[in-house]
Amino acid sequence: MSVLLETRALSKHFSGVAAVDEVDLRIAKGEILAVVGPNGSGKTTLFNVTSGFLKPTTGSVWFEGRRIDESAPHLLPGRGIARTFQQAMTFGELSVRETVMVPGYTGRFPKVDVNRLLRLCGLGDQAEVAGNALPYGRQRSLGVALALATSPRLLLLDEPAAGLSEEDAARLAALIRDIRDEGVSVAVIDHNMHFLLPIADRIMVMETGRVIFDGTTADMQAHQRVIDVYLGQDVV
Amino acid sequence: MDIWVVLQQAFNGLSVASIYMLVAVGITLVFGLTGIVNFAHGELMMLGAYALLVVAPQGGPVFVVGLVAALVFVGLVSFALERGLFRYTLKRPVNGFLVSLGLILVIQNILIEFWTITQKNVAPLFSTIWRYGDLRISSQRVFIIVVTALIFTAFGLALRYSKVGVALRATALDRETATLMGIPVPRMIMLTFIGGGILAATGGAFLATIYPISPMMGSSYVVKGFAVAIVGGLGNVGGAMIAAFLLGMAEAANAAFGFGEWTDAVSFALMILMLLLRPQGLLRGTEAAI
Repeated sequence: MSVLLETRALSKHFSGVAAVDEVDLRIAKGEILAVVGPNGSGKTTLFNVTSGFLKPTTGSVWFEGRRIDESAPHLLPGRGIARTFQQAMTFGELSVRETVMVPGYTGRFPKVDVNRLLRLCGLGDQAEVAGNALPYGRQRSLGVALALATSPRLLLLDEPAAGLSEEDAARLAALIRDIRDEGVSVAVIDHNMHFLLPIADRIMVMETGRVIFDGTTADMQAHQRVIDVYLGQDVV
Repeated sequence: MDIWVVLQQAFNGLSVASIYMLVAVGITLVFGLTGIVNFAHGELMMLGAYALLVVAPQGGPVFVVGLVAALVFVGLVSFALERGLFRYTLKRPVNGFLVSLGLILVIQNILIEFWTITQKNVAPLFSTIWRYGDLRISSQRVFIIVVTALIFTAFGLALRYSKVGVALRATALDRETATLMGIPVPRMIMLTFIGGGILAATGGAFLATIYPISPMMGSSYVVKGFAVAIVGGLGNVGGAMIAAFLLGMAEAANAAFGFGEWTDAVSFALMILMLLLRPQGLLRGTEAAI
């Protein structure tokens, strides 16, 4: 599979501490990559650098063969990279429909079928509800819908299942598969292995800013270091 | 009470409310986007008044040239202040507040150096006074009211329907998510400073044609501008406009009932009351969409 996004020896230091340390990340077209690791292992920082919100200390980020780490963050969505944050993404009292129409208003993205997008994200019946009045799980889905409204080729999801009920997490997992089936590559950070393992094509494990494992789910479950620092015995 | 006095004060109040609106909207927009409480906003208004004084003190048709010059000059000053100072305070808006306090003194002292502290007068574009009974309608004040109404009609439509307007609203509601929607947030903030400065300059130029101006004029209007912005809900443009109207009318009522000297006290009492009873303002702040 061809590489969509690549980081080369990417590092990000804060006050001399390496939050991300020499990471070579590769995301292939049509792939679902899970990024896991203990809190503070550098997962979100890696996404922040990859999506342009932070500049790398050293190393570089490449998307579809073009270097992007020197671009302003608002230019990356137009190039095909979308992401969500850990917190809910709503525009105050704008309705669900109005919220996902915001990218269209900016004139930077292809037109999307808003009704279809809302149905895909399980929000078809709540289109007219104010975004900030949605239940938490649905707000997370709205964040995904908003990201998809920019017609990305790569979607970075930061702990999308955190705080979701089992039912909502299962719905989100199905949505991520559907998104991938539509040709969008997805990278997901999460701690919920029951949510991640069934959908991930590949798993990358981070610890103190470094990648300690990158491979298949089956290989990870046999990887002693990953078991020691992150998984424990219950998921294996 | 004489009905003519009430009508006269209501008319005067409306023209002053127009100026409060022009000042307050810039204050509330800058706060909505950046969280910066910019007390130097009143100095932009004062600079607008003095630019008019320099270019068109004689009034008449040349007022239009003076107004355009004031808007361009203050737009450039706002651009320079945002690029040179305020953008470095975005991560700590309280620093922006402190910078704005320093700027007040710097700008005032520069003006005093060149124009002294003495009050100056600028002749209006229109000097006709229409009389209906005991009512005296100043054509200049009608001009101020009508132009302000036109400005805010255009502004409201642009905010609601234009690409820049939607981008501005999204930025005010959530800067990070707006960035993900491809919105150049730093440019939106710069545009807001420039736009707010231009509106303040318009207010300053209008004010100069109905009241004497001095280098100290900014402070009293910026405090009222903040009162209006807070009463309306900081970050809420519609709220600021309603509050400016109410403040202008309250001041007019004060004057009509013979308590003109209490005008400022009543204004600030209203603001304090609002902060205690309804801290989020008449309409809610940034959250409620600008």
